[in-house]
Amino acid sequence: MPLRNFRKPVFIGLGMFLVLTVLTQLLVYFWYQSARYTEIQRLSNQANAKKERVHITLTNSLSCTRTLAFVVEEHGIPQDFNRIAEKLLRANPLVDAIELLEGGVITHVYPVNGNEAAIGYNILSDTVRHRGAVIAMQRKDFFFAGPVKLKQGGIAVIGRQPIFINGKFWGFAAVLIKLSSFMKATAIDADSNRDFSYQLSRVRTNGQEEFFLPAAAIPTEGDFVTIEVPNTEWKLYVTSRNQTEIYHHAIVLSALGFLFSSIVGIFSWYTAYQPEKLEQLVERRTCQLTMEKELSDSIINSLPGIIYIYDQNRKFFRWNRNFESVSGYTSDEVRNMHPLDFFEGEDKELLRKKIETVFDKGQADVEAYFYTRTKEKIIYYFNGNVAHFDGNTYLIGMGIDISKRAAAEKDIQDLNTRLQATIERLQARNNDLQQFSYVVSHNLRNPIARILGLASIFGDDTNENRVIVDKITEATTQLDDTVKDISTIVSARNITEKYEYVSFNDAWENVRHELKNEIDQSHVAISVDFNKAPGLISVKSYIHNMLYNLVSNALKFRNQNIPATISIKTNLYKQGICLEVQDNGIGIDLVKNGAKLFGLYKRFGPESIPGKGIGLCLTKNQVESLHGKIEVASKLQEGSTFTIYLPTLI
Amino acid sequence: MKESSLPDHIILIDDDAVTNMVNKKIIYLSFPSIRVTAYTDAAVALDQLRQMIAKDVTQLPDLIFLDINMPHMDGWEFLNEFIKLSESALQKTKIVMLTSSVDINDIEKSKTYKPVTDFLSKPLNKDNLRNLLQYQSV
Repeated sequence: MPLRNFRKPVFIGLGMFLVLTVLTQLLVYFWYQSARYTEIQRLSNQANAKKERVHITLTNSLSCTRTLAFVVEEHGIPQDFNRIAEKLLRANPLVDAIELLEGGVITHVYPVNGNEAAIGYNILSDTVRHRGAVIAMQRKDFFFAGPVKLKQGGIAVIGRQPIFINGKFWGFAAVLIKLSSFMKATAIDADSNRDFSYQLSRVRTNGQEEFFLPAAAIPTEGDFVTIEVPNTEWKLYVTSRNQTEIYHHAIVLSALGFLFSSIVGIFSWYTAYQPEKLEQLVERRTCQLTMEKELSDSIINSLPGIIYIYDQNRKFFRWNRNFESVSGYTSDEVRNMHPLDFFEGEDKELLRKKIETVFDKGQADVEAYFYTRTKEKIIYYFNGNVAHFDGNTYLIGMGIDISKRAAAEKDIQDLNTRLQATIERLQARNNDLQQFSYVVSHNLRNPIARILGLASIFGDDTNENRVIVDKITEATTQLDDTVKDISTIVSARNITEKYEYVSFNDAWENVRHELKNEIDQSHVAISVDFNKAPGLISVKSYIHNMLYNLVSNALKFRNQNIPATISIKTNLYKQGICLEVQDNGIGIDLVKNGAKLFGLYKRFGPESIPGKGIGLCLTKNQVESLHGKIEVASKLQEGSTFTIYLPTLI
Repeated sequence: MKESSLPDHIILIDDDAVTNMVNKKIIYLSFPSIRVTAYTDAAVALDQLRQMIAKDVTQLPDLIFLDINMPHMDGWEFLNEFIKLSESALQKTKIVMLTSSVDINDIEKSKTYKPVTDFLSKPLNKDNLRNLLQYQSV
């Protein structure tokens, strides 16, 4: 990503540094150049000034040679050379000695003292020293030469004025100025100036340059100004002592510029690095958050249940993929749905309360049917917890499909019900057996015991014997009846008759006909309603018998003190049809007799009421053989209600 | 306990008059000296016992033959009332169950009543009567 690389703070810092470095160095360079230029200007001014001074100094000494030359030209060699020379020297204190040369030979010198060695010396013969003299001859004008080592000792510059008599060269008038004096006068000695240093040079005939002032540095590098001094063979060098200073200043400024650039560069880098650092931090944090979100997403998506989060406005905030796949709604749809949209009926109100509980108390759970988009309902166990984040309150809920568990629970429940039914049936059967055992001991063994007893007292008394035989006959008949009854009851348990449609109305008409006398005598008000269940597929004789026994009992056990009423009706129940016979008779003490009520030979109520105790027993056996059941509700003095439940055969 | 080996007075409680008649005869045939009173209604018999306790305790029977299955007041109901009678009656009078029942539950249940000493199955005969009376007198 070049753009991003470009934005990198290192580049910004480096760029800033480079630009500033170039700028500062350029500024320093220009400053340096301008300073140099100013310095050179100053140098040349100084050089010109110095040149003027040298020139003036030399020109002053010129007046000596001119005067002397004039005297010689006009008057020939003066007799009083010394006097004139002395006067001339006094007028020009700078001049150290005055010479007069005829041809090239020094003929006169003043002051003689110390200069005697020069007398008679022919300068034109000295090829090394004669150059100045020659130039003066050729120029026919004053010319300074030197500095030379004097014949008489010392170093001096020599100014020579050629003398022409009648247009013919005669000789020279010369002045000697000691170099030290010259230097002093012109103030170009090494220590005379703080700002500048000077150098004088002369170019020899062989082209080599000879410098006069060894103390001063020979200006080979750096800035200097050279100027030729008129009437001499000299070059004057002016060098600035500031030069190195400027250079040093420039170096320091350059260094400062570099330093400044570096600082600004580093600062820029650092400044630019801050957002970069922040960005990196943000990026790292974002990456971390993304990773965490992905992790939590993959966790919640991997969980088997459904997970969802919504706020207090019941607005869905997040949910797992399972939530969508189970509900069948897309994420856009879920976003606009209310949590209660997934429930119907009573569950809706229940869930509404539970959600409120979660927001109030922090936690709640519930089992409810979750409705999918296709209105398929799945039993779910929901667990909700309240969560606070970002300053808001949320409900984090999780649902687990418990239909398998619910189914298993239902299976167990069914099994239990069946087991319970079996137990009840076994208990009933046991009860039946006990009752049968009772019947056996009482109704079978009683007559037998009686017969045996009677037989044991059979004796000699004829009259008594007749009675005994009669009693035996009576007991035997009773025994026979009992066996017949038992046979009837037992056969009721095994249906041999055919199933057919039985109309309750027809059955009732038959029973009413059979019980006509009893009904008429008792003045009972009978209401009949078979509208809800007019009939069923069953065993006709059984239905007839049930109706007969129940109505017959209601008539027998009516309350004599009040007008008797009997209500007969049929109804539908979950598995079939029920027949109900209700009376307002004397009622039955169910606490005392409930268990025996349907037993064989069980009779209740006053002795005066006829009956063997077979009817209800037979009815019960017939009902049970039709897989039904008989129930009784009764209260003494208020009446009884017998209800027969007959499952419809499928 | 009386020195006499035989009881003076026996009461029969059975709803079946024929049975009472037969048993009375059997007792008479073996032990003619024993006075026998028969009741077809246990409630009446209980009432008589209460009167005996009130008037003359010596009139109380030594032995009661009690049937179980009776219509008005059955043997169990009789026993429940009997054990509420005075100590003297309980001391003197022993009860023998005499019933057509062959139900083991009835035998076990009868043993929970302290006055009940035996459980006989109908019909009564000379042998088991003799065994019973001799055992009772020991």
